[in-house]
Amino acid sequence: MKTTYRLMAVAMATLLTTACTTRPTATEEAGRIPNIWPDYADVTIPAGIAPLNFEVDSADAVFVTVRGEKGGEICASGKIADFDIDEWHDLTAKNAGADLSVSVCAKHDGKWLQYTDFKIHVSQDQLDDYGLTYRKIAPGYETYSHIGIYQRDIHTFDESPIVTSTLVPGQCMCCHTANRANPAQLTQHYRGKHPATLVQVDGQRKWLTTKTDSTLCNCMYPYWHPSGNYCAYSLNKVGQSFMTGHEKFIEVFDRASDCCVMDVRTNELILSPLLQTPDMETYPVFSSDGKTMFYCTSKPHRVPAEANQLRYDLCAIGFDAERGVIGNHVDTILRVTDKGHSISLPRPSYDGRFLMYCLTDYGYFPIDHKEADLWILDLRTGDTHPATAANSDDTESFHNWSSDSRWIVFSSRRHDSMTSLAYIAHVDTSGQVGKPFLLPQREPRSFYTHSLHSYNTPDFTTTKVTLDPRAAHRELFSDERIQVTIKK
Amino acid sequence: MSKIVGIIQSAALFVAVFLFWAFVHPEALSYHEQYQMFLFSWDYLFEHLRVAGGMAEYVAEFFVQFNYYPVVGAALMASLFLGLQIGTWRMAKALGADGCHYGLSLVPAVLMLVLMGDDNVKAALLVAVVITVFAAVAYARVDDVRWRCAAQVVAVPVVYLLCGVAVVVYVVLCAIAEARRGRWAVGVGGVAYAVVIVAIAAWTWMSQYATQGILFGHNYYNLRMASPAMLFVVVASAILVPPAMAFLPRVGRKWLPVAECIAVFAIGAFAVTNSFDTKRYELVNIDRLVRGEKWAEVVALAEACQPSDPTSLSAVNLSLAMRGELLDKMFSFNQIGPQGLLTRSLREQFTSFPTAEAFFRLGMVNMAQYYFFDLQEGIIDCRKSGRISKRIAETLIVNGRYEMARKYICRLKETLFYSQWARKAETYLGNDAAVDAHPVWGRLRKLRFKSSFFANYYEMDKMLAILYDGNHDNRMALDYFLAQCLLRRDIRQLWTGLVWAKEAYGSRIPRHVQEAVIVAWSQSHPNLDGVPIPISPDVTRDFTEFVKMYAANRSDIRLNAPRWRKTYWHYLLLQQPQEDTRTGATIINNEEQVR
Repeated sequence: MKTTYRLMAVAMATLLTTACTTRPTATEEAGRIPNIWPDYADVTIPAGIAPLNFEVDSADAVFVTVRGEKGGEICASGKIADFDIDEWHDLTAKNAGADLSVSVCAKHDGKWLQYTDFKIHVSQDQLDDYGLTYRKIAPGYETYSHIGIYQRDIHTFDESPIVTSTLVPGQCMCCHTANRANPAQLTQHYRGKHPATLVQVDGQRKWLTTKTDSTLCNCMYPYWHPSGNYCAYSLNKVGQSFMTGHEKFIEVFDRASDCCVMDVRTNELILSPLLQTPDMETYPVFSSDGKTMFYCTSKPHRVPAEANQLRYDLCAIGFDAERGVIGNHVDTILRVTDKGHSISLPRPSYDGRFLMYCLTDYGYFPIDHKEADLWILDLRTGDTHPATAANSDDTESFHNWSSDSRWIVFSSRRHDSMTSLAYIAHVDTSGQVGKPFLLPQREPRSFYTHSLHSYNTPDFTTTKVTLDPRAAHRELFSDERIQVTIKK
Repeated sequence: MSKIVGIIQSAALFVAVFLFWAFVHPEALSYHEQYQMFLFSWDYLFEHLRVAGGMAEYVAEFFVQFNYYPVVGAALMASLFLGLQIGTWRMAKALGADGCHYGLSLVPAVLMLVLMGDDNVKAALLVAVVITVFAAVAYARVDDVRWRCAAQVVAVPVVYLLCGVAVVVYVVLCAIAEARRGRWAVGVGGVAYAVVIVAIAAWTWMSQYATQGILFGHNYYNLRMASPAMLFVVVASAILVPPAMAFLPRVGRKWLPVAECIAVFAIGAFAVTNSFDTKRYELVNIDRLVRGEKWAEVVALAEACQPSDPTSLSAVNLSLAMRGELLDKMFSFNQIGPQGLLTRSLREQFTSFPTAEAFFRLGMVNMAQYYFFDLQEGIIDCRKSGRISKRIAETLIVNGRYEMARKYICRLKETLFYSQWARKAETYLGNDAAVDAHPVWGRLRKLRFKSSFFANYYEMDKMLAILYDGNHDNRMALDYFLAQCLLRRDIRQLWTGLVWAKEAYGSRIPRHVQEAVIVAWSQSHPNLDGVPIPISPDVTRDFTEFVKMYAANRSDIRLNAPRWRKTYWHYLLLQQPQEDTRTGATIINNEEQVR
């Protein structure tokens, strides 16, 4: 029996070795690095990420060798560079903190070209989170058909639905938010004939009606308090208008907006007059220690006519988690309106060091703002700088941190200017962001070309999300809701 | 019954169904075709196979794509109906029927046709029932009970996977076949096994599907949380008719099969006629004609039957505009206000088609894209549409969004009837010069807005004015602008457009513009001296006559004569402004700002 295993092992090894040794002969030097899609040249990746499969533009076949600086070599050949997952994981694990050198030989019109090697940097920082969660939705302005919140194992290519519109027909679902990437605490909104805000803590679900006489509307953009006892929400009376020009199609704006905090234990909203002013207040988020709540604020303007005058600064207010009380003093943390800019989507890193935000020329919903870029604020020094390597000429937005605060995921429209795809980038201890990589797919070009979906609000998740779909369906359509109240 | 009589009955069914789809309701076939996009790709197949009943849906979509040419689609649909009838007969035969009640085998097919008057019913139901009936026939023909039991272990999950909950037809017919053999337990066991399979599916790989959809067939009916009673009647008929044919007493009279057949056809014809909502299908037909750019036929149809809803009116007005007759003939039809010229985008799959097409032709490319996106996302069963995808790709090409256009074109390349267009369109991607030179896309690039501002449905007249101001070759924009002013009863705004009208139309100012000008002028002037545009003697004479009657008695019944109903004066003075009921806003009073 042992002999048989040995023979099989030798055969496998021979097969693998042969695969790497069937390098095309009679190649010509291209003298440049290849045009590959997705652009993975010089990106920084975590060890154990799913293989960065790619295609070479206009190539009929490719032969790719990846060598590790610290050793190891794998090959892929065929129409696209499709690496074996286990081999890829071994190679990246072995080369954590070092570079991978990618050698590409591609066949064009019957002739093999050897391109200049390019590097992929494997970070020393692990990315141990299970994967990503995101909402997939096809282009539409006021209507949605198939819509779903999915999770993706970032170490493989496996994607699975959390909840989709086939389960809850006619319902829009949005703003899925876990507590610091931990899905044990989860909140999510449903809109449609059976509206509700779902709060799930350790598998126990509550379906809430969050509109009260004292607040503008239902709760929107959520963010958990690190204790898990509170969740901050904004209250937005949202409008949208369509543009006639061909550069920009849509502008989303608030007619009014406030912020509040919900005590998820008692289903009470904690209000503060400082967060319910005539000004706009939106996107409340807690600092990593839970003692501060950051949010964006703007002077009100007549919309839609003056939507391009809405500009938001970053402010902060204290929060006492012991007593469940919002502070009585507001600080402006970052003023950009005087420079003609606007801040949206503040996201503090969970280690308390940085805050990443989106900078646009105006407004708070950056999705159709080509100028939207990611910036980093150093919460220790107050210095702020653009995440240059992550930004492009198109929209970057809806970013979030990994649980260890060393990686970010964000959506970008750089591919086709209309669909938002998920990119992952490394952030080092000084706040410098590495070149991001597109969420890997087994056949990326075919996958992304055929997919009409945008990846909305991508976020990391430490473990797989569990939501009982049958129970969720039953409870959602039962219309049994808990009415939130106002904390006295 | 002789075999030939049976063949004649089956042939009669085929011919009747073919003629019905091809010539009575071809629009129904086009309607279904435009809400799907069958792709010849493995991914598309696997996407269907992942879902219980997905294969039936896949096969149905394969058939329905041929509705692009309704005659071909009608032949294929007739084949499916024939399949159902033959399957029913074979099942009855397997249960011991002779040809005595052959006519009854038409019943499930006829009921299916009645059901299909509801445009939400999908052909997948027909395919699923045909497959399940034939599967039951195959089962019933196996003599050895052990083989039947063994086959059932595999067949039930396979039939469920292929056909969905229509597996009930299969297992109940099998149970009836077993009962006839005196093996009740085997039959009941098969039914129980199917229940277990469905339950397992509901809790495992179908867990992302609503319970009601799983139980009542989410792939048979578009509205996922509703199933019409008739759907259950059809399924019940597929189950009950074969045993009925077998167990009904034999009657020795030769004419009985023929009489049954005639009775089924007669009752079926009556039921089918009543099941197809005439108004609904008139609307669907108008949209089909708009899609085919058969403008004269749209106008002829409207002349035969006055349109009364915003969708058909917007189609008629578009057709008139395409024939250059909008401002001469639009009031020959019962106009209901601006919402009948360009409708609001509603969150559904149908009503905005003519307006989306109008925006596209006007050069309001973003508005067209916005409407087409929402029409696509409004498709009830969440499929994508070949027709809509093609238009979206065009708007993206015009706007230079080539990578996004490529996504739609890649899909269209995998279809049967849109692939040729898609391959040609692909050659334009990234090539601005080629797009500029394209007869449609290049023209639209010239016509589209030169500036960017917030679109506002309630200020459509201003948007149209800006559009025309940006390119005076856009005569359609001027037509629509002036029509919008007329429908809004906004004479002041119309007045500002008269300079453009004189420039564009020269001495032949459209009749309705003349009618509006003369009525406005006469309110502040004693005669027509100095009127800003030439007024034809016909209009002057008619106006004098109309005013005379109107001044004498506003309620004069003669003012409602066809001659006066098709004038602007009738619309302006005798019709009440209609509210846009979908918003509750009276359009003419809306003061929202465009900019």
